[in-house]
Formats: sequence, structure tokens, C-alpha cells
Amino acid sequence: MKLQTRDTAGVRIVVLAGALDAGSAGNVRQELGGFVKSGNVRLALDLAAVDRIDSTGLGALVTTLKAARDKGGDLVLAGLTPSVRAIVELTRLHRVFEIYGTVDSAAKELER
Amino acid sequence: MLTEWGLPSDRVAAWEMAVSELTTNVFRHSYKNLSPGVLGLSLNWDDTGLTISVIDEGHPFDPNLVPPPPDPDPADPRTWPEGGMGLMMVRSAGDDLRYASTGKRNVLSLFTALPRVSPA
Repeated sequence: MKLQTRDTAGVRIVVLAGALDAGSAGNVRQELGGFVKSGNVRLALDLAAVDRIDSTGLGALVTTLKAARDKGGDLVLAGLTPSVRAIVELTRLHRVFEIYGTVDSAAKELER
Repeated sequence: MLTEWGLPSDRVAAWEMAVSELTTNVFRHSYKNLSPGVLGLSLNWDDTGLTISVIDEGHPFDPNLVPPPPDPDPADPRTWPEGGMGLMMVRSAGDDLRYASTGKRNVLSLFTALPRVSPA
């Protein structure tokens, strides 16, 4: 799993690539949690290049969402492939996460 | 192997995910506070359907006794699940999730009604 970041006005864009699963979720949880702790509480995740997600990966995203909301921020998802979107919907997490078509539209929304 | 058997590729991806979730559960929970033990995987395709079984000799766990998680409430973070989603994903990959415990052996089987048709 690769993780790259870039910052726009008050929003950290995080681009993930590869499999977000039991093998990588621990690292991702730690990285994202670190961003929130250091004050980057508005996170837009670009999942366009995430080809696989499992329950552990989803758990890491929910943990970070809770931490971000606790600090007055948010974590939103963008660019989901059809298979990743299907899993997010199956687990009913589309009720919890704001989901955008592209990470740029997600970041614009968070900048408001 | 599932692909070699000629099973539909869209289903194979879901079954792979189910196997991954089930084996992750074994790694995480089955042998907690026990010595490391076996993890077995069995595939059986017959004229009733496909059965994928994950076998361990750790703590008994019947997922069918666990109530499904409540629908998360967008307004209440306490209802946002950080775990427990794996079984939802496993169930969605097949038609029936069956648990059997014989002696010290736990067998969790995902059955999919996709009968194997013998060549004429």
C-alpha cells in the first residue's frame, strides 16, 4: 500500500494505492491518526487506486473518521472503484462517510 | 483453483475476500491465549454447490449466534463500526454460513448454491 499526501487550503489530501487490508491497515491507521494528532483534522482520501479493501481496512478508516470528527474535522472518501464502493455499501458505511466522485471536489467541499 | 474449476470470475473475487476475512478471524481470535494451532482450508464443489470451509482447533465461535450489527446512525459515532464487518462480507459472498464443532475442531463453511454440472 502506497500513501502520498498533498495539502490544499486547510485540507490534507491523502492518495492511497494498492490493497487496504489486514496487511496494511495498521500502518494506514497509524499514519492517518498521526495527521489528525498533529492538527490535520480535515482529510480527503483518494481511493481511486485502491484495488482491494477488507473489513480491517474499513475499520482503520472509521477509527480515523471518529478521531477527526472529535477534533472538529472530518474524513471524506473520493474516487471509489465500483468494487470498493460495493463493499462500503454492503457494510452500510456509506451512511457514515461523505463520498465524492473526485478528491478535488471532496477537498473543495471540506475547505468551506 | 476456483478459476481453474471454471467458476465465474466475479464470484471468485467475493469468495477470495470471504476466505481472507475468515482466515484473518482465525489469526486474530481463534488461538488467543492458546498455543498456535492449525488453520485448514477445504474446497468442495458438487451437484449441490460450492462449499468453502475454514478449519481451526482454537476457541469455538459460531457466528450465527452473533446478532447482525445495527445500521450505523450518521448522527451517532458510537454506532459506527470499527469491526464486525467481516462476517457481513463473508455472508454476502455465499448463500449460507454454517458452523460445526466436533471435539476440538471448528469448521466454518460458506455454501453457495451453484451446482456443478457433470460433463455429459
